Amino acid sequence: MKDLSEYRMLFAGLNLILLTVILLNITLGSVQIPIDEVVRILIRQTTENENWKYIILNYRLPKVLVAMFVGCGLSVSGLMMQTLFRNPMAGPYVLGISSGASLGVALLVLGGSTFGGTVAFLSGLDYSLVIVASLGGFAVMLAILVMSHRVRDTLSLLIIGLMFSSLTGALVSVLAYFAPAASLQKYLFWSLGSLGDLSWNNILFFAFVMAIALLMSVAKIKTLNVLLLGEKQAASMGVSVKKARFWILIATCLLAGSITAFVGPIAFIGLAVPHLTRLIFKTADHRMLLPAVGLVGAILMLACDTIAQLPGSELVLPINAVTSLVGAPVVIWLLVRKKKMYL
Amino acid sequence: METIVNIENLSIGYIHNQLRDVVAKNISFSLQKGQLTALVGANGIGKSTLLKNLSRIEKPFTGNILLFGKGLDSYKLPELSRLMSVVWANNQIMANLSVYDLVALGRHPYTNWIGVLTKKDAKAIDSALTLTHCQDIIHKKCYEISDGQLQKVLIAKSLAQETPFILLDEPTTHLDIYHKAYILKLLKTLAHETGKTILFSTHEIDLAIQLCDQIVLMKPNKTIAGAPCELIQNREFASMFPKDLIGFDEKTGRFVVKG
Repeated sequence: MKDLSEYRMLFAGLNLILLTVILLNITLGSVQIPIDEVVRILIRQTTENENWKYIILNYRLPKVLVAMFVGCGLSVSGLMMQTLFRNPMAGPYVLGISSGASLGVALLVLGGSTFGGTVAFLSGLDYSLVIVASLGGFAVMLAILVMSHRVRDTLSLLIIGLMFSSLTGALVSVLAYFAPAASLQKYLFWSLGSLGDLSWNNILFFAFVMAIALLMSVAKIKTLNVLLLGEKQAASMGVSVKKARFWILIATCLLAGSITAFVGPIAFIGLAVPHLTRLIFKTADHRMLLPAVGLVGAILMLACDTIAQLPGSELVLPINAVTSLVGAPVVIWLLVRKKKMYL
Repeated sequence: METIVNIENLSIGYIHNQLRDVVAKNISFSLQKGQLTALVGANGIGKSTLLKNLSRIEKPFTGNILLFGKGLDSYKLPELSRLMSVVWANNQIMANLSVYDLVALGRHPYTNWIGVLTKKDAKAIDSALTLTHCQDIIHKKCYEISDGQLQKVLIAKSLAQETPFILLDEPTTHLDIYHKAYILKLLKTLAHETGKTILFSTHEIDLAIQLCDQIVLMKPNKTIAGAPCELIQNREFASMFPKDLIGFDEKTGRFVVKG
């Protein structure tokens, strides 16, 4: 156990980094806005350059918020899954929730021509992608929750999740094979992820869901700590393992499902951030880890987004590719360096 | 003497395809306050199944388990966790939990919603660490300590849980003979000096004979409980295993390989 003051320093440091990355993220982009102007616009909302104000308030600020939600939510859900499944390789991807969402979107976008009629009509709507992605993720989540009551050990559940992923992956491939090039391109764009394009109304709703799911996660901190000792041991210490598993799964599904629905599948953040955070904080106590993981996730996501904007150029890289490019080496480096991964 | 646990006519096992697969039956014995009891028997005889029933992970087919005179099922989970603590075998603690944090988790039934340790909790943790001689390693991570030390730490966790009844599933496996004796001696001291009732399963019959107040011996058709010397006198150990390979030497209290 480290000193409490040491943890306070770490948290203060992380908050400072977060603030820096937020400002950097808003400043940099295809149009560079001087940092003092950014601060002035954010605080007093006055500026000589109305264009900058418009860009910041309607484009960059929403994106910063979304990036923070996404990074924080995915990382926290990854942390909870790693503890629940007692597996350092678990993450929001593994349970197949993202794949469920992908299947929903694929059915809409790729299957549009095949199924015709109603589906084609739906795809004209703005919200349709969010709706089908939520439905897909929710369907897989329900299936997994039902299974979690039938299956006794969590390892089997993990494997079931993996099977769901491959199944939906295969279905998407079949759909893609028969889909016309235009819809294939549309699906591909969604699967690359996008943090922008969300209206303030959407962001409000997104924030609401995140807040609920994060509160649920915080309420499970004590249980998560006892689960570190294994389910059998936890049961003898007054934890109803089935109930705990149910609520932790609901929280992770809400986090991962809604994030995938709003911004598309984002790889590696949920897996890599908990490991990175454990490396910094050197603790397994979720009272420290959970908020820390949220912070580090938000920072990493913002950093990835800053890179994706390719400052100084008109180009924007797909966010999912950037998180993979950053995340995959981190995981490999962790594995090689530590040889053994501990939760 | 105060009876803490009373087991009456238990029949235990698992359900496969809605059919009962009885592992062991006719189990009756009781555990007294402040006594150390060993649960012995051949592999597959149902020791672990019995422990699972005692800790309410499995439910018995027939018979009663009474804890402090009340049926085990009548307790609520949080209530039960203040009366009985369990140390399971094969407990792979993957976490980079420190020894102190692990023992502190024993306070789970007593702490508030987010697990803040009060002064009372800290006191219970300190006394558990002292009783098990773990004070020197509290800052070590669980993957840095030896199997013997980990076993001590898990026992400390149970002590921090402050339960009058402690169950241990094979606490001496993977330990060398010195640490086997050390752990069992520790359990004996705890039972006699702090008045805890302790039941543990083990394969160390010779050590159990030397150190325990009572031995519960599981055999294919019956389960016998009694003081070690009683069981030796009644030649109960001799029929514990098939007779082709080993025999029980009553003078030394250990099994020997037949010529």
